[in-house]
Amino acid sequence: MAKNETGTTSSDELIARLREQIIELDEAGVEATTLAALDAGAPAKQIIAEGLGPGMESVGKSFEEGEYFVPELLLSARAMGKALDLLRPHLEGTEGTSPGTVVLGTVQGDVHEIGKSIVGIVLAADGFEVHDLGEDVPPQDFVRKAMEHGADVVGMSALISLAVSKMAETVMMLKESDFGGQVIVGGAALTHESAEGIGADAFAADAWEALRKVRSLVGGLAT
Amino acid sequence: MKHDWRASVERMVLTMAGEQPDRVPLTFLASEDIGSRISGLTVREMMSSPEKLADISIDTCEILGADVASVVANPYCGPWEGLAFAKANGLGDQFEWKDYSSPFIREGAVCSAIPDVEQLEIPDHSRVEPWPTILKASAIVAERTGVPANFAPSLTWSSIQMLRGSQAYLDVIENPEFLLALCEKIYASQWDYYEAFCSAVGKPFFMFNCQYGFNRTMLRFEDAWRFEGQFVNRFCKQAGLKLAIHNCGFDPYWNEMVDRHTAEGVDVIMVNGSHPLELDDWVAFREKYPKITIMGASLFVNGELENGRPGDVKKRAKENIERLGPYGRFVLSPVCCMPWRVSLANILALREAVEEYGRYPIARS
Repeated sequence: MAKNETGTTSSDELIARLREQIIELDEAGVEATTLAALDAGAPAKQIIAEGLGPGMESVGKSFEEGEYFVPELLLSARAMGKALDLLRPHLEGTEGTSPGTVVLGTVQGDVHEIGKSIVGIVLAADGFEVHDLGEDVPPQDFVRKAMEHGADVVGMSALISLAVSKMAETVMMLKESDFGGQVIVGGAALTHESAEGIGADAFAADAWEALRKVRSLVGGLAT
Repeated sequence: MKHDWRASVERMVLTMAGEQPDRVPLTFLASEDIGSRISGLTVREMMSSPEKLADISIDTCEILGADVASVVANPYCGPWEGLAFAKANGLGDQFEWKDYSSPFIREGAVCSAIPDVEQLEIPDHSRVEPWPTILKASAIVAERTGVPANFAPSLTWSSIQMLRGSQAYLDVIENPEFLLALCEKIYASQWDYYEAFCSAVGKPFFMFNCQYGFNRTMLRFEDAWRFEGQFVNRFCKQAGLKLAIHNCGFDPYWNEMVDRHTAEGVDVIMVNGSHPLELDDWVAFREKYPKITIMGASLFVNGELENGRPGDVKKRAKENIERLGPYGRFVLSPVCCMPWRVSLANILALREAVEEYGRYPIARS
């Protein structure tokens, strides 16, 4: 790694290193480099936008191309999560930080959490304010939390086919409530067609499709 | 009309032998939800005695028009192994009953409470409920219908995920030795289940096993083999059983699974899956593996069944029958458990479809 005139690594170089460390699943390195980048004066928003975010996008590409699998996704997401924890205090009060607020959860009757957790990390990496409600979330909790956080988007996951009934009920309750946002769903129990069938506004097959769709949904709301 | 179970058995036996029965058989994975819908009882009530569970199971299968009689309490990859493990380890309070749908245990709760695999107690399947109830109900159903009971263990990824939770995926990279030790524990538990099954029901003809690790979106094939496939393969050889593979995931490694099990000395006789959704892929599978029965194919529970009308369901069933039925060794099946949103009219449309389109001989389309 090149050093500048004062013998220290520039923030741009640190951010580039961070991107590589996310791709290489180097969790300890990501933490150390995030702190170093902050020390070097890099704004938290830039560290996310130019280092962590592109790193996660590259991980997503490797996943889509069959080079990475869920273990690698989780490791990169965990590294990303730790970096975000370090950056969060530096983001507070920053105007225009978040493109939107997303409430996420696995629907009632299903306890699988991996998919929606990775979606949460990827959205957070993109600057979204994410509220993860966990697993086995009853429909009324989705509605209450969506209202409480002023969510732009509610994201729901269901891996088992039996849980889709509760997902449909949740979508219906959200649409009937004063929640004015949109709903995206995902998980192995669904397809584009079935998502449409239960009244969702969008479907995503993986975390990166979820990111693209949420960006689009929020963009649509803004207009 | 009284269900003719003898005809159903004959239909299944001939189909799996590669001969043509009177028509394409129909099966369902009868879960707690559908049993609850048919009986009007909560899951706890249904499972309050083996006789009641057996009655409801037979009623359910007959109403649906199934050619396989099974207990409406999923033995495979379902919640009951989780409950038995929880009870055996003093964690029964981690289990959540639901009134009219399948209960579950919180993923990872057991291994969080007992992090040392060596300390993890294996349930005694002949004593720890609900297994004695399920096994006795299975024996009653088999005796009353003449349909051999389905031996469906939980080897291994579905059990791993239930016991260890998402942490298991990190273990694949960070802690593989721990994961292998957990696999051995699950193997020992499933062997205990096998012995209890043989004692209560009799020796099974084959083993019907979920292999959820084998999905391209989840694990590398070699990792899936390491933490799941090799245990299934070893179990089949140790018990002298042929193998039927269930996988209703997004993108199963079907060909690779079949090839590896075969190369390692296990006879794969049936695959049970809904993906890939393209029928062409299943036709290609049929051509490549003419002696393997396909149960399911492109009949996705959360597709037409959940969101369509009976006519849509029949159309999809007809396509499946016309493309796969003529070759034999095909069983129409929705593959996965049916949620409440699947109307009974849509379920019964399958029964109509096999009668209308599934009579042999079926012209090749």
